[in-house]
Amino acid sequence: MSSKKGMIGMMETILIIFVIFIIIGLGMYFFFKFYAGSIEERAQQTCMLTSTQQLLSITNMPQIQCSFQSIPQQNCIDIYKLWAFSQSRDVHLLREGNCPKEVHFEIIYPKPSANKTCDLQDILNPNFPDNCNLIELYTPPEQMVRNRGKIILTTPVSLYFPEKSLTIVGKLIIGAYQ
Amino acid sequence: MQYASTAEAVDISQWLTNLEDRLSALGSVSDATSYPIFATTSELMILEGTLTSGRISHQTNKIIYAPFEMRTNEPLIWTRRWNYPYEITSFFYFSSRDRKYYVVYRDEIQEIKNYVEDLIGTVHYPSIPLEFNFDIISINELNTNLENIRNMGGNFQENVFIFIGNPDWFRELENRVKNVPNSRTVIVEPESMDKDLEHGYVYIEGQKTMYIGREMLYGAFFANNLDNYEYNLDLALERLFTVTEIYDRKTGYLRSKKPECGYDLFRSLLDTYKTRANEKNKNPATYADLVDSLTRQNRAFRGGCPSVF
Repeated sequence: MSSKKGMIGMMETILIIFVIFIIIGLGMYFFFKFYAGSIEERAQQTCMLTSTQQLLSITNMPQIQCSFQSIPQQNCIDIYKLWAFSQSRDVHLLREGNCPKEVHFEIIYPKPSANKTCDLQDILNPNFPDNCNLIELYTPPEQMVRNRGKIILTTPVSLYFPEKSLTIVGKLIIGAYQ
Repeated sequence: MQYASTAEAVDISQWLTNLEDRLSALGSVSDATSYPIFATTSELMILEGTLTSGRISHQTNKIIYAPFEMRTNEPLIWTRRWNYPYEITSFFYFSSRDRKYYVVYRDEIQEIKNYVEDLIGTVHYPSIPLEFNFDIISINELNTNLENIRNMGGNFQENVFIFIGNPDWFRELENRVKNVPNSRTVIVEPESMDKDLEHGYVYIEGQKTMYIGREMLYGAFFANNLDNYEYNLDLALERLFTVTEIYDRKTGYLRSKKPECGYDLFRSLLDTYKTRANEKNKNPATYADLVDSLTRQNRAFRGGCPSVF
């Protein structure tokens, strides 16, 4: 009789310990879920800040900025330098920050007749800038951006064609993947 | 405990990212200063492409001349674009308010005196910001005031003596300033003492290396040792190579559109310049000659023939 009572008491104790463990486990689960969420939120904020900062600084990169007799011109992008930079090993400098980003330039005004990505033939063609509207400077690898949301940031820029001494209106587009 | 250390790591990581963002923003202009005040006095170590605080490291591709370790929540940051003969990249100079710099010259030679005044900025803008604690002093003045400087030396975390001119002029003085607490010396030997002082050699820790352009010379003042300086020199030459390659390609496009403009000679100069940078050639005169030729040729493009940079 007393051993039966003892067994019931032991089972109660085990049950109580089990319930306590479940409560602790659930507490830890929700705590770390909340904590991971706050880290993710901070990462997203940092990504936004870095992308906004890049939006301002890219147009002043010596690799693509216009210059006349060594004097840099603010908010002006030299199309030939831009294309040459997109082919250079230094283009990886645009990868900085904690989230992958794509960096493109779009020709806005006068509006080109063709809506396509420019290649070297297009840029050297006498019809340029009427024959294409997008110059891709940097695109992150596909596996880095899969299943991620994208935030688009843009700013207007002047695009300069040295051989025609022509300046047209364009747009710098940064797509930040979060 | 584990949570606290992870939270601290996240904070430091964000602090380093913010610092890098600040540098990127500063680097987008030709000349800028920043004296950020951070909430915590974090120990910051800057070593060959890495910003480190505590156990957290952050990779950076920026060219930073800095003391090896800074324990301050108020770093002094100054940036200049390296222009040689076109803008190439930004150099960042770090210091703190507890460091002192003395630029020493021989006042009998007017060209050097003028150059030093121009370099430190008593005459022209832009110059080294006042907060960086630079003093210009002649050899005679230093000899007279050395005892005072030695007595005050302990108040500074570092006393840097920068001698400008022929290294033989400073042999004896260099040994005497070693008695100043926390002292470090840099000797700058311009290639030519009377006309072009913007390229030449620097002696850091007694070792000879080159500088090309004023912005790189400033780097020699702030680099904590020869390794830091040489690491940045190599990185600068890599950037010079890629930017020159961009101008080389641009010249190629211009040549295909305007064959009558004679861009061939210009391209061959750019090719040589690129080769020197890629070889990491350490003879400053070869770069200076090419910079002169490129500048002259670039000015010669007129009318329907656009200049390259």
